[in-house]
Amino acid sequence: MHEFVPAEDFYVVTAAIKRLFDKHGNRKNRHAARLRFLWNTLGEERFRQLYEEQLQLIRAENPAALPIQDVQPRPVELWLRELPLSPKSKTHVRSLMHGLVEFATWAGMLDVSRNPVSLVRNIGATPEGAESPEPHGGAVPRSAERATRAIRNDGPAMRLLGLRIGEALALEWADVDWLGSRLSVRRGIVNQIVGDVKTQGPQRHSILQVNC
Amino acid sequence: MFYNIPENLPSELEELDSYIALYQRGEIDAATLKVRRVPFGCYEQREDGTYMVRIRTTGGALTPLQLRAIAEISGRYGSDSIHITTRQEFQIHDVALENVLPVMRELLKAGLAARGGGGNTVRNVLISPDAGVGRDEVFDPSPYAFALASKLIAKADSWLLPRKFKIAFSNSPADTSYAQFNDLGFVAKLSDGHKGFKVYVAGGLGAKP
Repeated sequence: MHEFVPAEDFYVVTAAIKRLFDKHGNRKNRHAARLRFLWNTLGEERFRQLYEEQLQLIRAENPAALPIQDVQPRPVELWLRELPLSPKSKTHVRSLMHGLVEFATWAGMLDVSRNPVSLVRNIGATPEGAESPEPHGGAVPRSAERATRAIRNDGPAMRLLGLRIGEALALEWADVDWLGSRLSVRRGIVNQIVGDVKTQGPQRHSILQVNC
Repeated sequence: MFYNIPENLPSELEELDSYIALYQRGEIDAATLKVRRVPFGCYEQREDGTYMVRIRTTGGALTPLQLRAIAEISGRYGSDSIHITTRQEFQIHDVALENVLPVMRELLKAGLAARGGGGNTVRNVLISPDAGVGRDEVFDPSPYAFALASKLIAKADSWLLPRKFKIAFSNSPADTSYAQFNDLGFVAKLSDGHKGFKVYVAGGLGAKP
């Protein structure tokens, strides 16, 4: 219909098409009523002509622009860049903001479709999850290296929950019930073999208490 | 929340409730009730006396709390599984007629509506499934889709169209929301760095596309 419509005009286009359909659509035969039948009946030229009429009527009504809650990570990015802090500290600032927005969205306090902070790039910092250079001769497999890093990062949390190292390593996302604040410990890794935890005892649920 | 509940929805639900009551007392027939309930996203299933409630979820977007609410409502009044549709909606199945209104009122508490789930109405607005993360994304059209859905469902003439009216938003020329096969389709496009859309109308599939 249009090769390009500026974003601020998308509502008047919608309103005009809808009203054109409302006014001229076929209400007698529901099997030939969709908008494409109107296009076929009128032909492109007549369709466009009637559409232009509706478009002008709508524009004359001057409808209020729709509130577009667009995600604008750029100002945050620029602000972050100007902070007199080291890249590492900026990473912490960014992740704190990310966490806050994430929680606000979860709690229904923010009407955003995605966390805008996730689009903020922190220039100069090591990207999250970036692989460090291969150790000598690549002797240690990358997965193992990643696991050690995970332990190093999540270690304190895991210790707090009273997990054995093998249990922590065998955790999967499905074991975490975020809404119910429960962590299910079902597997453990012993000598690189993933198996069920040995006794009923360890098959426990930890309560992840979050006080906000 | 990804769309706003229209102000008059509670009173519309009361009206639907009264039609269901009339039907249950045998004062109106099934066909009369059908005309009333279908535009509220409520269809009868193949098995007589069981119903499906189709919940509007723009682009399939829900907050975690809304998703949990749907699961709880379905568990209480409907089946154990929820149907996620090709039009990015969530359907609660196997609902008894007397529970249709309780389901809709519970949904309302969670900021969800089934209004326009069926009938000759503005149907659920689609968004490319990879909106916001797609590698070839021009820009994320989701905010436009959410605002448009809120606006259109607040208008009474959205429920009395000649036939169903389907809208879709794609984030790239790959058109992963099938904007070209909807009645009205927007495909994200930049012109001199300015955001906008390539617009398709009167698309469709079926016997006479």
